[in-house]
Order: sequence, then structure tokens, then C-alpha cells
Amino acid sequence: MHVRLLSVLLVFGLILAFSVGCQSETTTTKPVVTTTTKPITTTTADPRLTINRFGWTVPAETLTITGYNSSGNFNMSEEQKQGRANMDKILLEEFNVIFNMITTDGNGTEYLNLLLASGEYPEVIYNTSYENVLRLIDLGKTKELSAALEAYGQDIKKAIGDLYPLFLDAEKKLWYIPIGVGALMELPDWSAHVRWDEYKEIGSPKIATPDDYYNVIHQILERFPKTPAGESRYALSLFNRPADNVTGPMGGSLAGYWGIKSGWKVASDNSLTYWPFTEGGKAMTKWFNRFWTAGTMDPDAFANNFDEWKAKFSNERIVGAIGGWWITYSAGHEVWRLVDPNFHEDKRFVQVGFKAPEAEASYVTGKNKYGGSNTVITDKAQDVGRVISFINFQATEPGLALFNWGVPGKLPTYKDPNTKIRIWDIDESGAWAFDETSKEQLVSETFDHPASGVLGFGNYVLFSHVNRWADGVHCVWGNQMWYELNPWKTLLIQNMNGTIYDYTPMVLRQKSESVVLLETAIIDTWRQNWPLAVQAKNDAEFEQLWTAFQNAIKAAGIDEYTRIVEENYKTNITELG
Amino acid sequence: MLLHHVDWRRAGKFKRIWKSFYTQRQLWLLCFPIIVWILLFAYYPMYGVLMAFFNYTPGREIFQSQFVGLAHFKRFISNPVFMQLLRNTLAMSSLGLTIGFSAPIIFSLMLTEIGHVRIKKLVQTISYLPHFISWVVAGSIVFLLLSSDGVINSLLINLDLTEQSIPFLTRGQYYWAVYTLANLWKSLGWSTIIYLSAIAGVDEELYQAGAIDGLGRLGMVRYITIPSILPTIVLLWILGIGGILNAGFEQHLILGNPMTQNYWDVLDTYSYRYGIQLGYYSMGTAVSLMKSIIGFSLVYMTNRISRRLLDLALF
Amino acid sequence: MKNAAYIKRTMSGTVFDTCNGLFLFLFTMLMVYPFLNILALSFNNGIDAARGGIYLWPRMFTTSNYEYVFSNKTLLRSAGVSVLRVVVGTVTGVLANALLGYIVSCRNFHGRKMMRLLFIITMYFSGGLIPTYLLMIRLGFINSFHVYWIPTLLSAYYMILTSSYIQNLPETLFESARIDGASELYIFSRIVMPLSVPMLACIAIYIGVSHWNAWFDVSLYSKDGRWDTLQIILYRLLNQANALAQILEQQRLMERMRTIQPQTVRAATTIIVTVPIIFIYPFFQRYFISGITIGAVKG
Repeated sequence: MHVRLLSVLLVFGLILAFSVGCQSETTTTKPVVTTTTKPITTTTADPRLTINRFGWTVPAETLTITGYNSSGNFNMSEEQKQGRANMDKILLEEFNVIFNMITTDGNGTEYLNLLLASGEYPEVIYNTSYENVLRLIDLGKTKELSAALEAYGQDIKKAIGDLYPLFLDAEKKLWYIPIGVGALMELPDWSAHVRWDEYKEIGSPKIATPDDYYNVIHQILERFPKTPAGESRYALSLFNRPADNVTGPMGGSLAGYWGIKSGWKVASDNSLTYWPFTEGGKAMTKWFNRFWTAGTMDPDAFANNFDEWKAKFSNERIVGAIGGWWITYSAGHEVWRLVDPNFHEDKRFVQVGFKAPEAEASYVTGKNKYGGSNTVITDKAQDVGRVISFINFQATEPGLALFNWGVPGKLPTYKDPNTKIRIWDIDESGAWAFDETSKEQLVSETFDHPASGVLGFGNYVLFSHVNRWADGVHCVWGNQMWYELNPWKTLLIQNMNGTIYDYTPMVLRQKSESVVLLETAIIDTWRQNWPLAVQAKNDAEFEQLWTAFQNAIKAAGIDEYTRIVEENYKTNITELG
Repeated sequence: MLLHHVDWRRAGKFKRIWKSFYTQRQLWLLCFPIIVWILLFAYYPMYGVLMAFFNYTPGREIFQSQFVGLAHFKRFISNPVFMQLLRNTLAMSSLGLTIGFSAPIIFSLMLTEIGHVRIKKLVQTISYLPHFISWVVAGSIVFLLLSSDGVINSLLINLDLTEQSIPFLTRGQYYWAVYTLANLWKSLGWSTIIYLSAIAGVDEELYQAGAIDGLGRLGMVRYITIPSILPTIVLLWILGIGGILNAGFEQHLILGNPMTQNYWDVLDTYSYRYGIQLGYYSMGTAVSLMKSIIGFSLVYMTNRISRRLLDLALF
Repeated sequence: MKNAAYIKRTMSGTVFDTCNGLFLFLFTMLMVYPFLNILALSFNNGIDAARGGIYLWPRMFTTSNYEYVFSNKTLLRSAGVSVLRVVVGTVTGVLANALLGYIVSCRNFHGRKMMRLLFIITMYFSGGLIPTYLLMIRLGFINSFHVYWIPTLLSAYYMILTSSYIQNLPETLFESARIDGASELYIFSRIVMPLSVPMLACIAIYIGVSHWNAWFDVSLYSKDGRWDTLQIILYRLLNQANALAQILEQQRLMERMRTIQPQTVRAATTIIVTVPIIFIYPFFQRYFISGITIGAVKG
């Protein structure tokens, strides 16, 4: 019937018209910043401008900054959503600043690519990896910052300090700002672990070498061969996802106990050898192989992901652990405290360090001071100076406190508006202090971290440094202060003393495509071959697999890669003086 | 008017074409918006495949990037693990095209043999539940079953069928079986829906006629059901052949680990690791284009064979 | 079919039935057990569940996982958007694909082969994410509901399914209708559609569920949150662990680990996503479980 045909055509026509019509109605992204007032300087003579209690000169016109947060997989808990609202409120009321954050639920770099391809990236891109920064520089989409930093960003420069030359390119230009620059040189990232009550049961023998640790773990295993529920126990286990969390990306972080620095043996002439070709690397693998041949290593050590390892660990089925310093907290007493009716204070893991006798030092934790991510100001920014002045505020102590600790003052929690939470406070004269109750809770490790999400920390951080502040006590991490008041932290620092070193000069940042592919191939190779050597059934097989491992790495192109890393290292050493 | 007075057999080719358009004008009219739709949404974006021939970086137009011709293709094929990747890909997709393809058909036939409609519905509903479980969750279930302390190994050890636990997850040789079974478990129920609906479309009168001719239940399946759904089966299989270079992606990242990598690394996972993940779009596009060309060529050839042998064709 | 009056009952038939029944019983156990496991996990306390050992029953019962998911203020609106998307997408998709299937199965239609080829090529060749994304921007589909159903309206796969089903229908029905002067649309709506009910039910399920489960296009095109679906909210919860894979700094990793929801919340979200489908499904299932008689429609 013609009516039917007509109606179908009409519908299709409508649809087409709709889609075309929609084009003119909807805007695709939030408007990009355009402000034309004079940039803020610290020596403004304009009497209309006030300075708020944080020391920030409040601009007359609202400063709007639009930034893309490249971390991806963005998700906020209800507390965090409220926290962000609280942060937005204080920024508008006391700073006259609005920060529009663009995020994505998928992969952050993938969405960045889409923004670049469509030309709709905002004026600030932050939380982005160094690789992305290099790409943005290459595309010519970044603004040069040294002049603006000189004029409005003195605090940023001070915070970066001696590392500043490392962030400049060959022509001494600055194209990005690091986030999280610096390092807490006394906080170890990696360690071995042993359970305190079990350790005391066998008499707390001294652990100084890898063999000591091996013996201690096996003594405990002999003493307590089964869990309270009657299940069998393993001496050691590992997990392979996230992979780098046990061994570091280049592998061989475990070899730090044998004197290898993050996978490289550094000779006195600053030449580098990759760990499969060193005695230390081989000794480390042989040591793990001891667990394997003794039958006390978890057969699924190389198949577990973190959740699976955690499940076994929380059931007390694993006696020892090697990896991040916190994994035994998260899988250990933080769980037991809540579910074990027989829980007592000593039922927790402590970190221990040891050093192979022939190693010069135990280089377990390499501190990389470059920072975890970066901020870039793109060519869409109308006024670089104003943005820099905002970032500069984040480099001052009240700024670090605001953006990393959260909103000052007492705020109602999400679950119960009658309960208040406060981490710090700042009065009208600018004097600030850390809240005593929160300090006690942090030190005694009873702080309610999820509830603190209402304080809105971590949003809009375009710059931060992780060194200790001027008073040598405070830093951006709420739970990394006042070690002397927390006996467990003191033990951690004590036991891992001497295992921390500065890894910054060895970090290879400038990577061409061929170097990146080389690196990926080497990582692929050691990840597949090292477990095979660890699982050798006897000495002869071990030697054979070790040689095969070395050959595979050679075939992946290690000689070329070593040359490049070594060159980079020697250059950095000279530049840092 | 014109139609009546002209002898079409002697008319020119143009007039013949016009006549065929005119007589079938309704169908052509219906086709028109569909053609517009597909040109816009499917063919217009296809210019993206050109990325494979340049060193494309998002942020720069394709044609502003450096032209490299077949460099990406060459590099991908000449990398040392390429043959292994190809082997793994073909092995797993072949298993999928044989076991993975025939299982839903057999299952749907078995389902139709159930007498009680209620039970049939229940079984069918339950069978598709795994489709909704994400691979992340499915992975933990696989681990629960197949790890050294897992259900299967505990069972085998308790029944004295083996001394030590079998390393299902850490020995590469088991991987293809694990993958195929996990995939089957997850997709079986969902794929049977289409076969059930095809079986349901078979005219009941055919079965009645078959009964009169003396066919038993097995006979009915052989001579009525299967031939009736054969077109659907063959066409879906031809489509599936085109996907022979697709052998999973997400599953390997979850079910696999470095120990089994040389059995699960396929074209897609490699191209992701060395291409997209590092931001090298061009390499990813090149691999994808290669797969497209090979896949489509296979479909084309299989289609011709099918038309000749079975008189069934996709196009 | 088995119980139809004309089927003979035989000994081998009964044996087969028993084996069939047994096998299918075991089979369903295998299929349903993981789901029951997830159900049990979703009602279990998160920290306790991390210790493993939960099989069919929760060990520490709690509804906090569901409470957490439902505490999301935008959940109701997103659920509404999801339902709207499924309804609009399924109705339009089924109609469009059925129509396309009909068109390409008309035996005398000269454009048949071209149309089929046109679609099948698109199954194997694609421009990739970036050109598609740019196209959507140009069409104004960002932050618009239309991006959910227009770009995915037709599919070569469904075209194959519908056309191969329709080709099985007796052509004589269509021919006689044409002779009687019926338009193609009339034949399609009055003759083809009623006879194709099993197939339509099948692709309605496929299209409906794919719309229900879709999250990637939501994450790309629904930027101001107006058109967020249920799936994207749940995806954000399920995907938290992925974000951690990139973090190397132990301090940051530890802090993020603290905010991650345990696997029990993931289990609860899986249940929330699946349960609506289980309820709706039987309405479609009956169309292809029981079968139809063409003869009845003819009469």
C-alpha cells in the first residue's frame, strides 16, 4: 500500500533530518577557556585583588581552566564524588577558579588520541605519560613554558630543584611540568616479608643474607606446616598480574638483594650489564629455584594474578613474600583484623631486608625522581601565565596540602552526615596545622581511608612534589609522616635501611620507536624465560635453561639496548653533576 | 504507456535495465535509504585503512604523515615470532570453527528432543547464562577449576588418578584445550538460540509427512531437520571462515600467563602489545587490514565453492 | 515435536532420551554453577570473600554490595536510558534487518547480489575507531541519544540470518500476493513478518542484549553524562582493576588499591546486569522453542 511505503520513507527522512539537525544544536565539548584579563603576578599593584587565607591572589574575573585527565578508567566512589563537589565549591568561593575536568572511562591514551584526531583537546592535558608528552611535543601542540615559569612559577622551580636540567630538552626548553617529582628517600618500595608472631616463635633469628631468609621461612614452615583450617602451606608465591609489581618492568628488581640496580649491574666505569648476564641475576634465580626444587613454592606462582595470590595469602597459606612493601598489609592483617576472631596485634607481616654476601649493597628500591606523570599546556591555551600561576600555587605548602590532603576543616562524611572528618585546617592568617585526631589514626593505622574521600584530594593535581616539606616532617602522603610514632613503620625503615638508592640517572626517557619495540621485545623475552629457569628440576637443567634464557635475550637485541641505556646513564650522571 | 508498445527483446540494453528498475521499483526504493546508510556509516570511515601505509600519529592528518608504503606489513611479517603467532591463531580458530561451531548445532538438536517444554526452556535459559559473565569473572572461575589446588586437580588426586596436580594453566600444551573449552562454555548457549529458531521455522507438516513415510526420530533429524537448517549452518560457517585470523583477544590476557605465552600469543595480542598499546596506530591498522583482506578472500572463495557444490551462497 | 502424536515411541528412543536427559542435566550443572557462585559472592562480605572458599552459599551474608551499587544517584536515570535504548534499538533493528533480509531474498530482485556483497564486505573491512569517531562528531551525535541506535541499525550478520530464514518460506505465497497487486511492503508486513516470528524473536534477543550490554560507545559519546546507561555505571565498577595495571609507584598503587571495590561488588553488578535479561527472555523464548506451522497461517 502506498501509505505504508510513504510512512517508511517519511520515517527514514525524519531520521536523516534529525541527524543533520542535531548537528547544529549540540555542542561537542565544553567550551575552551578564553580569558583576556591580565595574568596574575605576585607583585600586583591592583588594590581590588584580595589574597585568600591560602596565600593565593584571587583574580577579579573567574579563572576557568579546562583540563583532560589522561589517567583513564575514571571512576569515583560516592565519597569521592562528594569530595570533588566540596573541592569545586572551595575553589570557586575562595579562589574564584573553576576547573573543568574531562575524563574517560576507557583507556586514557586512546581517548587522548581521539581528542587529538578531532582537534578538540583542551588547554591542559595532565596525568599523562612521558610517551604522550613526547608525542604532543612532536606534534607541535605544546607551549614552551620556561618564560612563564620564570615569571609566575618560581615555587615550581624551587620544588623541582636540582633536577630541573633533566626536564629541559636539548635546546634547554621546557615543554611540560612533572607531577610527583622528587622522592621520599627513606621510604622503601620493595621488601621481603615475614610474619611477626611466627618469626618470634622460632626465636627471631637474624636475617642478613638470602640464605638466612630461606632458612627462616623454612623453619617457620616446619614449625607451622598447616594453616589453622588445616590446609597446606607454601613457603613462597608470586603473582604475575600486575606483573611489574613483583619484578619491575625490566625484570630483575628481585635481584636488588644481590646488588643489581633495577635490572642493571653498574660497574665502576659506569658501564651497565643486564641482569641475566650477571652473577647476581643468576644467583637470584638459583635462589628461587631452591624453593622450587624443595617443593615449597606454590606451583601456580607464575599463574596467579593478584587476587588469586591474595586469596591464598589471606588464608595464611603462604609463609613468606617478596614484592611491594604493602602487599602483605593489604592481604594480611588488614583482612585478618576484620575477619579473624583470634586476631592479635602481632599477627602481621613485617618487612625484612637482606643482602647477598658478595653484593656491594642491597639495591632493592630504586627511587625515580622524575615523577609519575606530567602536565602539558597545549596550544589551545589563551593565557599561559594564568594557568602557570594556578599551578604555582599547587607548589606551595598550602597548595600541596589543599590538593593532596583535601579540603581543610571539618566535613561531614558520606555515610553519616553527623560524623565529621578533618585532616588539616588553615586559619585566616595562613597558619595551618594537621589535625591531631587524624594524625593519631594514621599513625595507629586505624584511619578510615574510604571515608576520607569526601575531602576531595587528588583532583586537579597539575603539579606536586613528594619530598619532605620545609619542616622536614610533612609530605603529600598522609600516611608517610611521623614514622617515629608508628612502631611498625619504624621497623620497616630500620630493616630496609640502605636498600634505597637514586635510580633517576638510569631512567631512559627519550625513546625512539625502534627503542620502544626493542624494550618491549626484551620484556616479553625475560617474562617468558625467567620462570622456566626458576622451575628447573635440577642443577643441570638449570644451567641449560639459564643459557637458553641468555641466548633468547641476546636474540631480542639486548646489546643495542644496553648501549642506549648506558649512553643515557652517562649523560645524565654528567648533567646532574 | 511506453511499456506496451515496445518489443523488449529487441530493445537496447539501456531500456532493459530501465525496465528491470521500473518493475522492481518498490524494492529499489526501499533499498535506497539502506544504501545511503551503509555508505555513510560503513564505507565513508573506511578511509582509515590508509593509516596502514603511513606513519600516522593522531593529531596529524593521515596525508600529512610520512608515507611508508608496505613497511609496516613487512615489519610485522618478518618479526621472529610471526610464524608462531600464525600457528597459534590458526590452531585456535580452527578449533573454534570445528568444535566451537558444531557444538551449538548438536546441542540445539538435543534440546529439541526434550519432551517437556518447561524443562527445555529451563535448560536453554541456563545454558546462555555464561554469556553474561565477563571474561574477568570467567577467568577467576577457570582458575578455581584448573589451578593446582583447584577443583579438578583435587578431584583427580582424591580419586587416585594422578599423583601430582596437573599444570593445566602453566603448561603451554594445555592452553588450546583450555581456551576452546572456556570459549565453548561461554558461548554455547548463546549460539544455540539461532539454531533453535531455525529449527522452529521448519514446517510441522514436513514432519507429519515424514512420519507417514515411516521415518523414526533419528530419520526425521537426518532427513528433515538438518537439511532444513543446512542453509543457515553453511552460511554461518562461510562467514566464520572469514574470521579465521581472529582467535580471541581478551581471553588470552586473562587465561594466559607468561608461562603459556608461546601458545596463546596471536596476531591480535601481538599487534596490541607492539602497536596500539604503544600508540603505534599504523601497525595495528596494517595487521587489521591484512586480516581483512585474507579473511574476505577466504569468504569469497568458499562462497564460490559452496555455490557450485551446494547451491548455497552468501552472495 | 517429540510428543507429537505421529511420532512412534521406540526402545532406542527411550534410551536416547535417558542419556540425553542425563547429559543435559550434567551440562546445566556446569553452566549454572558459576552463576550460582557469583550470586553467592554478591551476597558475601567483600573482605571475607577475598579469602576464597565461597562456593554455593555466602559465608558472611551482607547486602552491602548491592547497597553500594544502588547508592549511585544516577542509577535510576541510567536504567531508564538503558531500557529506552534497548526498546528503540531492538524495534528499529529488528524491523530494519528483517526488511533488508526480505529485500535480499527476493529471487528476482536484480540488486540482490550487490546488496549482499555491499554488506558482507563491511563485515571484514573497517576504517577503525578514529574515522568513526570523527564521523559521529560531524553528525552531531556526541551527547545525543541517536548515536545508540542509528549507527548500528543494520548488520550483515543479521541480514544473513533473516534472509536465509525467509528464503525457506514458500515463494508461491509472495508471488500470488504480487499478482493480486500487493506492494512489497504489504507482503513484508502481512506475510513475511508473521511467518518469521522465530527468527525475529532470535534477532530481537541478540540485538536487545547487545544494546543492553553496550558500554564502549557510551564511554565515547556520552560525555556530559546525560545519556549514561546502566552498563557504563557498572562497567566503571568492574573496570577499576585495569587502572591499576599502569601504576608502578608503590605508594600510589597502595592508595588506589584501597579504593577499589572488592570482587563481591563486581559479582553484584554482574547479577544486576543479568537478572533483567532472565526475566524478559522467556517472552521471546516461547517463539522459537515451540515452533510454528506454516499451514495454520495459510488457512
